[in-house]
Amino acid sequence: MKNLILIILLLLSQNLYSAGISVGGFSPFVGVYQKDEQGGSNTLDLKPYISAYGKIPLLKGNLFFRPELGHVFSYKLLSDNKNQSQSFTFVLFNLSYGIFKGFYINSGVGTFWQKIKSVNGAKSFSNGNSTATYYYPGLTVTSTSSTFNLGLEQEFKNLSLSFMTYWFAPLNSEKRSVSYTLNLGYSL
Amino acid sequence: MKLFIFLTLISFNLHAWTLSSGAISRFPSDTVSLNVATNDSCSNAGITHAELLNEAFEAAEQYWNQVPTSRLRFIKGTTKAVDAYSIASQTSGATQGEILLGCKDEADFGSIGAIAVGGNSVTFPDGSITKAWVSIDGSASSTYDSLTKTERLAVLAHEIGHAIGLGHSEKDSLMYFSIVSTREKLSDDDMAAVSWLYPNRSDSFDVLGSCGTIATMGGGGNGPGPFQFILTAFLGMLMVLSFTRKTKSSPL
Repeated sequence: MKNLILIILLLLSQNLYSAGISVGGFSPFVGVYQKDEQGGSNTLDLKPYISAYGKIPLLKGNLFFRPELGHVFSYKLLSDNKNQSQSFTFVLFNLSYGIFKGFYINSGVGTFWQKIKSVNGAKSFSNGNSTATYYYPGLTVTSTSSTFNLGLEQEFKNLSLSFMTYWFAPLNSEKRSVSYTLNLGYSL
Repeated sequence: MKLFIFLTLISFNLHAWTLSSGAISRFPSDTVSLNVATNDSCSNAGITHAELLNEAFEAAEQYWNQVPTSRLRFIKGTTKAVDAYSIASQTSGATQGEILLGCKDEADFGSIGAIAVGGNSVTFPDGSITKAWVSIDGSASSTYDSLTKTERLAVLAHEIGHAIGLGHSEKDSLMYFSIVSTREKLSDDDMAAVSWLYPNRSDSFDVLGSCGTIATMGGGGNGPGPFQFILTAFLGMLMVLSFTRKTKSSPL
């Protein structure tokens, strides 16, 4: 699907309204996983991320095409020299509609690539009343997910604050899950 | 102080997940059926075969079916009698594409004191799981009946994790070797593990390429789904709109 990159570049070359970068936190899969043995679920499990975006006017009025490319930095645990980590890279194709001055509602679709890395190795763990050897695979795997996006953005001159939600597996009632970002943007 | 707040907000809590064997083993299909063998009675465990099937499916739904970054999905099967159901000889009677649950004496699965076991057998070199099983202790000393509902679901989900190819994790996860009573969801570690072993296919919308994506066994992808079609149509519409606007605003 490299053609999609060409489409984005084509759109950007048409009539770019503004472009910028943003930093913030990405909270994956709210409420889906348990953070500790006390039963607490993840709600504010923010991972740092950075992104670049563009805004392209589409029609008369306040409608913009707002593509964005971002990366959630890798987070990992070192355990007996066995290194496992995961990161996300995403591309968003949102429409941005100005409700009133400086305040936008953003919505569209996107794709997230979850990169899961593990270094080869083995370790013994308890298994019932004895122990057993288990294995760390030495491969990196990418899982690709499509999202439906919805969020709000407030601009203050060159700065902007935004809150976006990303609905993973939006058409699957079992796996549907929401993630969100909070970020601060700067228009170049 | 600012650094403390920053570090508090950003947690790095992915633990170390493992696989059950050195060679990667997994189901070649995206959908796995949960069935219960009726060969052995489950009365010592205080449960009927139909109830075991219901609990196993509830466990699979509550834990594994929730992961949006994994293609693996469990469906509810049936109760049935099979030719042989023995964990010891790994002739569990299971067929490909299913996890066969049942009740066996703990002496059969060779782990005295264990509440339940889960495992699989695979073909090499492709690592396809040909048989997978989960058995709860059906002996007179079975403690399954004394567990709370939450604990029973966690035990079944843990053993299903072994059956699909996962090993134990270090701590704070469903795949930790010991089940705690408050384990009601997967950990991010469990989610990473099942997403690693059964990732969503990369043929859906691959802008950046699929370097590092593990080859899917069993051949063939799902092909673009309806959501990908909508996505492509959406992008096409944007391109047309952009050209239209450009044309209209061009000076004569």
